[in-house]
Amino acid sequence: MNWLAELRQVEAWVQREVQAEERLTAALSNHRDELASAAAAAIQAGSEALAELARGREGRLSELRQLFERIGRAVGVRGSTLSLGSLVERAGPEGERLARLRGELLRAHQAGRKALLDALAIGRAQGQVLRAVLVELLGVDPLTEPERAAGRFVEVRA
Amino acid sequence: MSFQGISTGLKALIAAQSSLDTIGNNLANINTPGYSRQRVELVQALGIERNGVRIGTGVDALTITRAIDNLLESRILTQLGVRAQLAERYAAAQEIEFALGEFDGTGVGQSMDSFFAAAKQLAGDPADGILRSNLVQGGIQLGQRFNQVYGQLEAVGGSVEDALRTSVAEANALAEQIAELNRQIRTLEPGGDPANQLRDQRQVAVQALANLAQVEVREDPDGTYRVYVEGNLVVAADRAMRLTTSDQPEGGLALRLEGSAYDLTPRSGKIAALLALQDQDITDLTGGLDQLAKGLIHAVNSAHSTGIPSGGGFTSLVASNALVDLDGNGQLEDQLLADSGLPFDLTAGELTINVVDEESGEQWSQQIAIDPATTTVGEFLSALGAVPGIGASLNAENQLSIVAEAGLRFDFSNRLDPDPDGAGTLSGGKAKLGSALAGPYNLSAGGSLDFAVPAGGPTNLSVAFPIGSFPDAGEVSAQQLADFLNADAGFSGAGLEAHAVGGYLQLASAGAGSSQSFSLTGGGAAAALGLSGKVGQTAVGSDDPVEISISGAFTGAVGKELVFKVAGAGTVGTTPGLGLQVFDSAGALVATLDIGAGYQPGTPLAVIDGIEVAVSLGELSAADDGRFAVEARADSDSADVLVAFGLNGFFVGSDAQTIAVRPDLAADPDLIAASWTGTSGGNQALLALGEIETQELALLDGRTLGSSYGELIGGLGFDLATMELSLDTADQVLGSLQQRRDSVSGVNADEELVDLTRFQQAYATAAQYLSVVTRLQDELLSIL
Repeated sequence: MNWLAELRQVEAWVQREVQAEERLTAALSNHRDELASAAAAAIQAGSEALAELARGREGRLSELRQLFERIGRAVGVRGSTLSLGSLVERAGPEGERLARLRGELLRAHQAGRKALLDALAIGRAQGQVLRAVLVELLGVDPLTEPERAAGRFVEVRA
Repeated sequence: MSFQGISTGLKALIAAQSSLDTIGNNLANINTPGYSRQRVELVQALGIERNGVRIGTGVDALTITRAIDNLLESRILTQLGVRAQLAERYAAAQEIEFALGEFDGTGVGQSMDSFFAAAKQLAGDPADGILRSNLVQGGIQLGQRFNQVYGQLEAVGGSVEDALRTSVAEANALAEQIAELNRQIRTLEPGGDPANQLRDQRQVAVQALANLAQVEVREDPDGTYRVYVEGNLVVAADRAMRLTTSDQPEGGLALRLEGSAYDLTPRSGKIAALLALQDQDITDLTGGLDQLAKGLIHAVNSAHSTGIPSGGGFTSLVASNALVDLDGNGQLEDQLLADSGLPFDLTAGELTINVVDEESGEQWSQQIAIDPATTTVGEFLSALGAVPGIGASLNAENQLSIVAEAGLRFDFSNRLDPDPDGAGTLSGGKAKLGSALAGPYNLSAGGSLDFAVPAGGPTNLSVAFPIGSFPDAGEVSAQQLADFLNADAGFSGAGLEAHAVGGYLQLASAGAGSSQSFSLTGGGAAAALGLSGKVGQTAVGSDDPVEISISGAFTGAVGKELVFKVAGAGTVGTTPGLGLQVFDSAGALVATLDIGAGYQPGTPLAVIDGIEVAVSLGELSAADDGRFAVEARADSDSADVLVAFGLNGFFVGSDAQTIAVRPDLAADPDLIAASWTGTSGGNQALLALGEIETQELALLDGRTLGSSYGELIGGLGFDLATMELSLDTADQVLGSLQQRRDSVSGVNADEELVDLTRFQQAYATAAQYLSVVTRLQDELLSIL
């Protein structure tokens, strides 16, 4: 096996990603609360925190894809066809650690996925309710028709 | 979704629902008075620990609070009171201004102008019946205007009392309402829910109370308010103390807490304004109006009461003011004039009463000295009764009644004696000699005067002047000497008489005609008495005597005695240089009248100050030092008796409420006393009446009627302008405070909508980021 060094790098990557996923899960959980709070500033701050985490994941995925390319060349396949599961199978006994780490990452991802869905559901619901209220009050959707909505506040008050 | 996820979502939805409800409530109450903007206080729910990671559990809507600034609310309460006080006083001042009617030409000022204009017009033609009626109508209108304005001010005062009672009842109702809201708030809030709506209602009630009086509020820990009105606890928890009104002894209402012995003096609010109106503004105005009416009545009646109606003097007069038995002993005669309940003060002075015999034209006058501090009513009545031909008494209504005997008329004018030389000391047919010196005379050396009086043959007569005959022989007055001589039996028995004229001793025969004569033959006292030049001179009477008559009316400001003396000798109207010299009381020559060649005998010649003298044809000589005197009085009622009693006044009454034209005069304008002389066309009283308009009157503290009234009106105008300015300022301050309150507590639709939009935008942004995260999560899943 001439790609053992790359395998160890993938294991290290998965270990970092498990921690990153847990941070993302926590951030999503907080953001879900922020979305429920109807506090615009907090929502904005939470969104920016998520964006930072997303940018970190983009970098890490790029790094993983490079590792997969190198391993693919070593085993004679295209890197894009590889996954953590296929590496575990190809590595045999050497892949046991990666298999365990992959399991951790899978669980972390599931937790993160739940948090993400919660946040999405709440955010979507809140946004729709507010949008409906605004359309009702202003007679125009300020998001889709900002030009028509301009000055509507004054008219509504009058 | 897990149970935790459902719980989190539910909390979020509840919180979001609360926020939206609150925003909706704020928008719905945008125009609700006293509504304070509400905010949902959101707190992050406690998270749970899972796999070493702290996971949030959502958000809790902790409480909905009112956005309120207590300091600002307190300042608004204060300013509300200030504003309400100014607004109430301003409204009342406008009502008073309308009542005075000065700005629509129906006020007292205009009526006074018309009245005095009518008096001046009548003075130009005192006999004109239409002008007389015009003056009477002017007086009636003026009196009625005073009565109406006074009545309207009293009505304003009455409505102030009503408003005061209503405001106090309103304050009590508000205090009860605050106490009830306190009770409800105290019951609700321990359950965890802030009673925002009740608190807003309570704040509205407190503000309404602050409109009525100065209010301070303190909040107790249990959420109840303690409310103080003018520093007095009126609401404590669920108990309210009542404010009450009580009648003041001097009139009006006083404010106090029920059960308290002390009056409250509000500093601000409508009640403070009403009390100030009652105790100060209206009282000052009615007082000022009363004083003005009193000054007018006094001045007009002073001028009128000494006048004489066109029909001549009075046969009887009844005073319009009644005496009051102030000491309550059932007797009026024993009371001092100063303490007899008369509406106008008397002063120490004299009253002149003139009596005229209608048939003979004979006139006599008498001065009654009065000192109100020592003269009793009885003494005054006696003095009046002592005037020949006059009777005085009190009628059943305790009013002074003066009656002349049949054929006589009386008046109180300062008319001049038309026959000032009745004693014949200058003119007339008597034999006469006068002293060249004015008294007092120094008879400390005693001496005598010796006369020769032919009575069928010369009769020698000597009158001695023993030193002890006079209180001070070194200072013997002409009157003392005259009295002494007339008391001498020999002197009077010889057909002689003595007079004091202008301080000079004048001697004359008792009878008139050319048969009358006497000579001063000597005597030790002749030099001391200024008669040494007359020793040896024989005075002879005349069968064709000169007659002197006085006419006109004295218009001088100060009374004086004028002494007339012949200059030169000769025939009146013929002899060049024959004159009549006139001296004042100090002996100064004030006029020399030419009665010689060119003078038409009997023609009145102007002397000074409205006095005229006419001299008939005849012989006059300065050699006998004959003199006569004319007493000119500026005020024939210097004691103000006529005004005080209300005798021959134009007005009756004594203040703005009671002033009216004398009823009999209102019915018969001929009773207007236009003249001081009783002659047809006399207008002196009317002229004096017309001048009152510009006179500075003692009763008005030295101000004229116009300036006094102007001050009354001007003060009101100034107050109105000041109040209007203050009200504007108070409005601005209150507006500014309420604007600040709105920025803290008020609902701003824009703000609420902007909030909503901001949330919406935040959710939209969050959705975008969440979709990125979703994509990345999917990507991660694809490589797992």
